[in-house]
Amino acid sequence: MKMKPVVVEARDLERTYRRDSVSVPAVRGVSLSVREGDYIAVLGLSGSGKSTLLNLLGGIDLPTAGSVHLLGQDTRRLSDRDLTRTRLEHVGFVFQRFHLLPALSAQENVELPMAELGAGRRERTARARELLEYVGLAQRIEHRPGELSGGEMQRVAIARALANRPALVLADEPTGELDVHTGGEIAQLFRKLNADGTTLVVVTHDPALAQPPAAVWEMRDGTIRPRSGE
Amino acid sequence: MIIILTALVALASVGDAQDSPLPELLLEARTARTLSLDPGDTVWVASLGSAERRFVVAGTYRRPADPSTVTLRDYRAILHIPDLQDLLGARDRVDRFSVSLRPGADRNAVMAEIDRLAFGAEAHASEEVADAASETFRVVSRFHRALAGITISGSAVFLLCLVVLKIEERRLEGAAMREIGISRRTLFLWTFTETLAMAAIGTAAGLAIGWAGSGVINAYFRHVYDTTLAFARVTPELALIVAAIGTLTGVVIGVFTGWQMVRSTPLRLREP
Ligand SMILES: Nc1ncnc2c1ncn2[C@@H]1O[C@H](COP(=O)(O)OP(=O)(O)OP(=O)(O)O)[C@@H](O)[C@H]1O
Ligand SMILES: [Mg+2]
Repeated sequence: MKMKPVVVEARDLERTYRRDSVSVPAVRGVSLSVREGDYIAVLGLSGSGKSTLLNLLGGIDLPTAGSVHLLGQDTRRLSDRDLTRTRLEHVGFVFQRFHLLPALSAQENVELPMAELGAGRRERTARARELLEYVGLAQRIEHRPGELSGGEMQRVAIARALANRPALVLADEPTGELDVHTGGEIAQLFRKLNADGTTLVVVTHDPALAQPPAAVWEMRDGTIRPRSGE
Repeated sequence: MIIILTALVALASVGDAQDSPLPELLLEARTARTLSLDPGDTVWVASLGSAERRFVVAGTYRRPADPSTVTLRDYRAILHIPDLQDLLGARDRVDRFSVSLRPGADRNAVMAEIDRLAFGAEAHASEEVADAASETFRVVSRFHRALAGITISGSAVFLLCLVVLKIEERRLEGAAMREIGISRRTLFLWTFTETLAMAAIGTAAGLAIGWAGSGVINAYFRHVYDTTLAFARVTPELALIVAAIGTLTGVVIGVFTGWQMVRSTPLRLREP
């Protein structure tokens, strides 16, 4: 069977936070490849380095040593501007706290990354509506985040992450603010995304997000390996 | 001819009209109101050391809109000159007169001529007189300007505090926007525009409040002093100055806040 192309690849990745004289090694020697269509769930105790790893993979943070190749490009060799552009075009982010702009409607929030990329209004509107329908919010297009529940806000955030047809979607504790039931619905939405071809890396404590077809990786003290038995 | 009587000491209302027609006087409207006098009423008037005389109130008049006298709580009436002479026991005399010049006339020459012709007379240019009379108002005006300065600085600091609080509140939002790929440029523009809009709304609201406030102040004091004087005014120049200061403040603070949002990496922005 032919292997699918690699979307992001980490080699001997290290990230040490330095503050004054204290240095905290958050990621220590991680190597992994994420291929098109993968759904990877990263589990691990608090402080094990999951968020740090995700930031490195998405080009938000740069490694202290080792490398991240995001769509074939070494993130350390890109300027801040190019890295920002790469994130905009190719990576979708989903946060624990949603981070929608409160003044904008659901549709406008979804349009935001497309507008930044220079898409025309008509195209933006059409795609935003299509995406909101896809995540099950066809009826809430005009609502602002303040008028939506947590689960609904996260759906909008997911639609926003998909706006520019990213090669990779990274999610950090996407159900961390939601109750079990709503979290389950979001987990189901992630499975649907993946079934439709979206490449996913999800950092979580939530077992619902680590169900098949997710490949579960475990982080411990800055290192990563597939969960035993996989 | 009529003259203002300032040496008026007593005014009192008495009953009905008399057989022989009484001399008439005009009462200043505020005086009439304070003393509850109406046209047709008879009053006793006396000057210092003279006998009282009776007058009938022929009507009322409004005192001229003069800021230097508007707050005076004195009584005023206008009498015919013969009656006034009678009352004062003194002949008419002229203390002051004005000379209006044709355009192009040499004012200094005229003043010198008056000084030469009339011994003891002193000629003053109208500006000098106005100048001397305006000193109080100039002091008040300076005081107002100082107050305005303090108010404006205070408001600017207030805006700055508001905006700084807002940035604190919005750091995570800004960080998230940078993370999803919104450029520094765009984020700066958003923040800048928002701050400028806040300043503009504040300026507009300030002008509106100032305008409405001056209306209320004028209405109140015009009623109290029965005058047509304007006590507070929002002039176009003033509005322009306010708009300029508002815009300038908005731009400066907008640049500051925009810079705060984009100067560091998104991860830095997340840190407390
Ligand atoms: N900006 C930072 N400066 C210094 N140390 C940091 C910073 N961010 C993270 N760390 C440290 O790096 C380690 C890994 O942090 P990270 O946030 O990646 O963990 P995590 O697995 O995501 O934890 P959680 O499940 O609680 O979100 C922790 O020890 C943390 O204290
Ligand atoms: Mg984390």
